[in-house]
Amino acid sequence: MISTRRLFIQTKWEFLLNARNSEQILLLVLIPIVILFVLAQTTIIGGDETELPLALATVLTVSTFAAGFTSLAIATAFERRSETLVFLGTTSLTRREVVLAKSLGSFLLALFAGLFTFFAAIILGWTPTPLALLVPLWMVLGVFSVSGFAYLLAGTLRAEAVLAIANGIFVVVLMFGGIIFTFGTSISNVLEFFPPLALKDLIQFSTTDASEISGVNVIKAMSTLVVWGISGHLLASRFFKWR
Amino acid sequence: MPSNQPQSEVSTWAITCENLSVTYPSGGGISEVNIDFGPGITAIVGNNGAGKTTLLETIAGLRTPNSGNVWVFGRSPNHWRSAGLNQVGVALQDGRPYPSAKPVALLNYLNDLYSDTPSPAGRPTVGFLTEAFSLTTKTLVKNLSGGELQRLKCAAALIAGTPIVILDEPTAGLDPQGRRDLYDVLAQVVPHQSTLLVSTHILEDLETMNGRVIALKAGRVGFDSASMTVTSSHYMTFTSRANIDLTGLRNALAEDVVISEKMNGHYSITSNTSIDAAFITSVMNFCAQIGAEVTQVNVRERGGILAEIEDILLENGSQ
Repeated sequence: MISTRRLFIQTKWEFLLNARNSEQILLLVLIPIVILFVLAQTTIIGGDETELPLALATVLTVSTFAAGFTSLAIATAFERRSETLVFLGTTSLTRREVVLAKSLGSFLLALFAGLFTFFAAIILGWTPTPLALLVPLWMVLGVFSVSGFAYLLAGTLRAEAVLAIANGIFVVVLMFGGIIFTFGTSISNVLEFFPPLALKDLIQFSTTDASEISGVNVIKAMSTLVVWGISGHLLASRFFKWR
Repeated sequence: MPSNQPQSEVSTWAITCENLSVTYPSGGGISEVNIDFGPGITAIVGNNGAGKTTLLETIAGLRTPNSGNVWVFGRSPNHWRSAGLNQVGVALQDGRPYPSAKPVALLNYLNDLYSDTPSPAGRPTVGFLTEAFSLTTKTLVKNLSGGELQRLKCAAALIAGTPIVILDEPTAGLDPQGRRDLYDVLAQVVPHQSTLLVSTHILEDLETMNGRVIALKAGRVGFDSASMTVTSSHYMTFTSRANIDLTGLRNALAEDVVISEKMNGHYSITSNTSIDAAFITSVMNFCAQIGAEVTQVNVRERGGILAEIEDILLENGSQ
């Protein structure tokens, strides 16, 4: 049984606690906006054709990944260490509500960062597209696709190890996820089956007017995120230790 | 028997443990515990590793029994949890919940969370609890002192207004004054009809709590003041020179009197009958006759339960 009232209270509480954390602001707002400016104002990456919608999609993907994976894994690992999770087990919250509130909180953080990014993009000259309204939906899917793996890490390893590994994976995804630096077709075809590039393709599809991405590709990217999400959450529910 | 089946014949108790065993691969835990808890305060004592925390966490639904059952108002703890109906407010021994929150904010959030939890005795307000436990500090949870953290955990356990309250070692790390203050506040704040379980390894706490006492010994119930009677004994100590031959003194006193030298020159006498002036005079006379100067005479009635428990704990510790 899930009580929407308790879920709302728990999500609000954790979101506000996280949003006040200065490292989170750095990770979720500052870094993405810096990346947006660098991508949009220079030609260092992707030749001289780096367009604003592409940069926007990249940055929103980075925010979603940072919130839904890196920051969620680290926060949950430290809550496990401080026995906050055990404490929550003594409240009227069910385990499902605890986990769902965390994922929702991550999505809200990503959305919060996304709003800043959209605003920055508009300042840089991006014209909003109607399909951009779909972006929150893609971000929900994006968080879902990686949050299970965040729980898997947080629920099985020591907090310090999670801190190192989650940040390490974040850097690897930035470098080799195909979202900032693009690779040849053969590598891209593989990377499309990983959440970062799949999410970026979806966001790019909704932030570009003349879409080069077909409906088939949208279905493929969505399925990729869903399959990753289900796998991650199944693994996490099997191996997650509450303390 | 399916473990969700309510037990009608035991439902008068708030908590029932039936052959309850919770063990760990590394040892410890509890085995075949049979106890019932009803309204009022129950102290659970035992040495480290005796199973206090395991018992309390199992009642709170945080641990799954290996065998046997635990019933909370006739249902399994899991039943209440999955229904989101809290029956047990818990202050855990370890951990610092939400280190980056402020105590008052944490209590306000819990207050919101519990606003639809049924509470027969009524829920205390945040203002009442922060006042009673002196928690108005702006310090973050991660920076709270040991005493503040213990008080916050107690307040967090009570704010649900549940009919059962479990406090695991709430006085750990507190000085004697802090312990006494905490019990004073608890006496004011916890409703009388609540079933309150408090664990401690500090024997003086038992006198302060003045309720039922259960001693756990290596995972089993070693003593339960509700089902066992104990004779109280009387106790005298004195200090004199070391290695006195006590035979003469033994002959001068009644047969059931036990005399021993505990340490160098520290003697203790235990008697089942009262230690009166005549008794003390015989001890003094004996020492005077053999020319041993006596200092620091102390006579007290050793509370029967305390003496019994002290024996259990010391015996346990020496194993």
